[in-house]
Formats: sequence, C-alpha cells, structure tokens
Amino acid sequence: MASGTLSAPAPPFVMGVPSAACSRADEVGTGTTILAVSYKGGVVLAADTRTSAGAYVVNRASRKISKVHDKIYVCRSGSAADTQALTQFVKYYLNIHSLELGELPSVNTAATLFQSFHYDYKDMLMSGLIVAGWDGKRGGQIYSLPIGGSKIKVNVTAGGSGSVYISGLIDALYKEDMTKEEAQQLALKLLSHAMARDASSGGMVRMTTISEDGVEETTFEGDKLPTPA
Amino acid sequence: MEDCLRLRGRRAPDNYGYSYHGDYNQHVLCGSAVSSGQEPIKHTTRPITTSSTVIGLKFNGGTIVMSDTGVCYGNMLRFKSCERFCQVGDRTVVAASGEYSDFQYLTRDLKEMDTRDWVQEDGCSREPSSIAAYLGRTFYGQRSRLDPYWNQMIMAGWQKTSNEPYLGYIDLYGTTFPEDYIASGFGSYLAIPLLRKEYRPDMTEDEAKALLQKCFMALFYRDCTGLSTVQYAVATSAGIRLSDVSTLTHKWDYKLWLTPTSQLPVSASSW
Repeated sequence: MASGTLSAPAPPFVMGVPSAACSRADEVGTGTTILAVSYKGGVVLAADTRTSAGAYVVNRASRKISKVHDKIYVCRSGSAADTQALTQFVKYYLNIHSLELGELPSVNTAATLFQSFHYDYKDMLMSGLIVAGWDGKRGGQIYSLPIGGSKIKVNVTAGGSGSVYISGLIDALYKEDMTKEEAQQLALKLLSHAMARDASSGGMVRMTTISEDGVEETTFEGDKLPTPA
Repeated sequence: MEDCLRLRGRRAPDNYGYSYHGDYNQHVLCGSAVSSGQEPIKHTTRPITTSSTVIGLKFNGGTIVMSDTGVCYGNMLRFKSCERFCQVGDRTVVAASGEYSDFQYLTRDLKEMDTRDWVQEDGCSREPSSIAAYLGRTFYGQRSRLDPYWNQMIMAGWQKTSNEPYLGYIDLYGTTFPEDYIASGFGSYLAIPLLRKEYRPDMTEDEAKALLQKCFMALFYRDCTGLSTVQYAVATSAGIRLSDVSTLTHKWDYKLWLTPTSQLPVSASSW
C-alpha cells in the first residue's frame, strides 16, 4: 500500500483518539466500530469490516474480531499493525499458559496479558481493544482495554472511531439479562447506526457469539443491514 | 514468557529512562519499533483515561476518603462505575485521581509489596505513613526520569504506633505531606474552601461524611467530569471499611430557575 501519495487532510479522529497522538495520518488503521454486549449466558462481539489509510479503504472485508483462544476473542481498533502484533503475542503466551494450566484459560488472564503490553508500551502503541469470552469461573465477560493500559470490566462497551456516535444509543437500549437473539439484534442495530455516520466505519458486520455451548460466527453483508447506510 | 513479563511496569528501570539498544531478543519478542535515538522513554506524557476529585478528611477516631466512580476518556464520561480505592495492608487505603492505568499499575505494585510483607510472618505491619513515604519516593523517582505516574493519591489510614488517624497526599511530582483535610483535582479548588469553613477536628464520622457529600454535590454541579455516584472508605483502629456506591441527590428547583424566560421579573437576567 503506497503511503504518502494521498493528500487528504489528516482525519480528526483515528479510533476516537485525537490525531496528534497518531504516528502518521495515512498509517493503516482500523478506523472502526467495535462493540461487545453481554447477555444471559454469554457475550456477543461485533465489528465493521473497513480498514482505512487516511481516506482510502484498504480492505472492505477485514476481520477485526480475532481469536485469542477457544472461547476468548478480541475486537481490535487502532493501528492494524499494533493490534495484530499484540494479538499474536498474547495468543502465543496464552496457549503456553493454557497447556501448563491443563485447562481453558480465563478471560481475565487474556485481558491482563493485553493490558500488560498496553501499559508497558503505552508511548509506542495505538491500540484500543475489547476482550470478551466465556470461561467456567465467571461465565461471559467483557473487558474494555482503552489506550493507556487500563483494564475495566463492563457489561457493554463500544470502541473505535464510530463508538462516539452510539454511546447514547447504548445507554438507551442496553438491558441486562437479554436473550442471545436480543443481544445479537442490538449489536447489529448499534453497529449499523455507527457505520451510517462514521466515515471510517463501513462494509459488512461480523459478529461472534460466545457462550458455554460454543462459538458461532455470522456475517451480515453491507447491503443487508437494518439501517440505510 | 519471562523475557517480556520481567520488564512489566516500566521498561528497563536500570536504564534511567534511556532507550534500550543492546538486546536484540527484546526487540524480536516485544516487536516494538523502538525509538532508536537516545530519547528518554516516556510513558504517561499526557493522561488518557482520567479520574476526577478525591477528598479526604480526618474525624474524631478515623479518616474518611470519598471519590466519585467515574473514569473519563478525554471529554467523554466513558466508564461510570469504576472503583478508585486500593487497600494496602490492614489499615491503609489509597484513592487516586489522574491517569487510571497508572493507578491500576500502582495497585499491583502496592499489593506485591503487601504480599512481600505478609510472607515475612514477622508480626510487623506497615504504618500508613511508611506506605506514603514509599509511594512518595516512587513518584519522585519516576518524575526524575521525566516519566511520571500521572496521579494524585490521597492515603487514609490508622497509625498504630501513635494511635491516631492518618491522612496523606502524594502527587505526580513526588510531593508528599500529611494533612487534616485534603483534596485532589477540581476538589482542591471547590472543596477546600468549604472544608476550611466547616472542618472541626472533633467531628463524628457521620458529620464528616455529610460534609464530604456536600463537597461532592458542589463538584457534581461545577465539575464537568464529576458524577453523582460516590463511594467512600473509612480507616479506623478497627481497620478499613469500603462503602457501597451511593447516589447524591441534587437540587434544581429554585423558583427563579424554573420560571420561563418570558415571565421573569424585570430585575432578573434573561441569559
């Protein structure tokens, strides 16, 4: 991907962070909307599929929800390079940890590993993550890992540049102990609204639902979303 | 696993802030595009996830520290129910304002210190003034590396040796001092004058709590990042007690404020 050939002005936000914090305006980032919603018995992770570099859409079918372990996934926003590298490291360490432990790792462990990297390299990284999954100890969990290196357990959260447009909608619509279908529909609705207004979010909606019964992945094509984009 | 995790916290603390050249392994494992120049490593150059005011005051028989439960992301009130207290040992509690990730790191650090003390099994436990001194030196050391922990900490505890309450303040520069009442963040502007007027050393716990709630009400009205959900911790000779989250009531029903603009008396301002 040729860099520096596009003369579009620097985006004011890259993933909800003022662009003064970015390394370069045309760095490949996942200008993005990511979110996670918990329901009674599990969690739903959802993300759009647009990867942008400045004003150009580098990939319109990207995968921003990555597997960290069998029942632990991460939604990535920020620099594509940083988040991919972090995911690879944590996947590696968590795999070894799980082998030594002799059982599936806990979601909290995965979140803490990510937090460690975030905090130790906070001056170099641009990465905002949502770690979510299911484990036998605490059931479905969602951890928000914003820029800076903090880790905050939440019931519902959104990240990326598109998240600012749906903060209010989340407050209005989210309820505890929804059914799986309600949670999936809510996630789809929230993402569609964000994608409708955020230039850096778009494409399709990918959704991953994690519970005790397993993991299911669904994709909603760009022209089949509930709200007109 | 060890190679990366041993550098947890601050990278290469023995390098006094200068970037690390020699270890190829580190670059490979940690994969960072390292600042290859001789620049000091900077962690929190500007706070990202921040928490607001903490206020503490001594009363007759203990110390009480109160804070709200919010963590902001710039101008956005992003997280509404976070706990901002950390208990260290059996009779000290620390509350922080400023960068939340640094507070979370320091919580780990203090708990590790706590564990190291506990395994000694020597019957000794740290005084709050000792923990405050430790934190103060830690903060000063980091600031001297131009890499501060971006926090203001208020520490409440019970001094066993002198059988009296303790209240201390430590901030990102390493400033450390004990006081009878102290506030951080916006509270240092809004709450301190209220406390100067109404504080008495012989207050009961309930009076102290009411005074703090009054301060936080003022802060909710006047601090953009202030929330009305608060939590407090009390340190007495019996130990530390952390309260549940409660919501402050606020007042908006002043007659003049509710009057429609078109019906305001002539003397009133219509702005």
